[in-house]
Amino acid sequence: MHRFSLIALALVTLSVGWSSAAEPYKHGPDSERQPGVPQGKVTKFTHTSKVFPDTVRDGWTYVPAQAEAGKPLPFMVFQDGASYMNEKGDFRVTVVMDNLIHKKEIPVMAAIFLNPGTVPATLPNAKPRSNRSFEYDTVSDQYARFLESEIIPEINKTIPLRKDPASRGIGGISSGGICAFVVAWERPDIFGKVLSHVGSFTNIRGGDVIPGIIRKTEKKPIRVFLQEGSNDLDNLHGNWPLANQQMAAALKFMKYDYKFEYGEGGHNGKHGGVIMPESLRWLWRDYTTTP
Amino acid sequence: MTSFLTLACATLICAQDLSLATILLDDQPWTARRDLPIKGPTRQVNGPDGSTYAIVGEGAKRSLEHRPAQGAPVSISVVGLVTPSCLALSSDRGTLAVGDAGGKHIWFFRVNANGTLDAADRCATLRLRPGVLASNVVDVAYDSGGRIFAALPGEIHAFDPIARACGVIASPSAAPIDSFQTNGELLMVRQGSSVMVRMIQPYPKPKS
Repeated sequence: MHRFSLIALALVTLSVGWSSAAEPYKHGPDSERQPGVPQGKVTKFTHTSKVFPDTVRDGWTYVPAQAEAGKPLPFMVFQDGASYMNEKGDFRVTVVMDNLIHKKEIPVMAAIFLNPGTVPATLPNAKPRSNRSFEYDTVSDQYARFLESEIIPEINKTIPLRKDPASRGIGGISSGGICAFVVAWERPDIFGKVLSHVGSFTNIRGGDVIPGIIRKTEKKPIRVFLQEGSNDLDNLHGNWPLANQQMAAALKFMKYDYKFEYGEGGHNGKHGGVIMPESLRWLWRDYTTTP
Repeated sequence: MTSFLTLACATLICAQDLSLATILLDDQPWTARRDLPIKGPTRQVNGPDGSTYAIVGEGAKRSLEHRPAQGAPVSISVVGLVTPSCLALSSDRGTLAVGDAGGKHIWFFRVNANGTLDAADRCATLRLRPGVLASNVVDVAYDSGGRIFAALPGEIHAFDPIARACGVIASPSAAPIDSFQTNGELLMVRQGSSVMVRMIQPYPKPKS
């Protein structure tokens, strides 16, 4: 498979989805560096997968300054990790976590930021193969298996992580959003919290059926935060605003612990990024650990 | 590198729209072309370093084989790839697409500089009717822009360059498709002795 050239990437990015100057969302103080707030430590790693054969990806771990040596931490995983970690980007997760942990509004928790995999090319003029859609949009347990069998054990060697699902959240944008939900849906025994931004609950690879499946499946012990915008995509794969409303309605019908933030944004992280602090507060409210 | 990946991720999130309307032309139906001999289905392609990839055997016993320039052929076996039936090499020669007649997917292998194959995965899912487990895909083709076309006996499935389904293109007639090719501007189908072509929109669009 092919990828666009870097120039094309930049042009498309600037001209299509990532520019929504008219959207009325501005970051609050919890998304900015504040004096006196200790900063957590971010460490980069690279991972070669077996579940997704020979794919390579960058990842980063975040450990808050308040972490106690040897004490297992609750944590969240973020797809498209570089975007979520970027302190000048939409989500600014490390900044938000530093601030909210300092104020004791969320637990002392770690984060794992994962980029999607690529199959590096080995021929001089060949392009790397992006595996993002296959990894994120496929409605199966494959990404949960990838996390459970590869990523979490590897991180756990250096950062002790809690094992109970209530101590584990997962989030992402667009295809990364449906990926987050499917991980928890397939494996509620390992992930109990979901954060979806403009989630692609559409027919990219069959994800449009999820609301119907939620309605006909015994309720699972997962907590879900959905964010969507009325100006999101309407294309060959489906209608994102309608799909997310269907998700919210299905979660409501089955009496899930869910929250649906429906704004007026497009297919981007502006709204979801601005409400990241309240999203994390909501997801991690009432959190208590048992030894 | 980080900034590149960030940019790439952002763009992939945005680049969601490669519908059939961006592939087909409304006023261009299938037409007969007697002057266009379509061979195939594609069961052999040439890779780097003198390598050849081939589908060997017949029926359910078909298998994928790598024939290096020197040495004995190597049978390529991957769990889940049931009946490899057709091949296509991307224009940059870095990816080999393999149709699985016994399954639901088009598989992708990385082509290494020495011609070996690895990193196999079932990235493109064919849309079959409920309960149908075997696609019977007869041919697969890349165009120069990276779009992937998979011909089943009764229809042609189109995928964007990152293997998301764009849609299903109707067959020219009820006769089963025997082979398929594309040059990025024409879809070319052989059904028995009949060759039918259909003009499509090039991808990416030429700069005006």
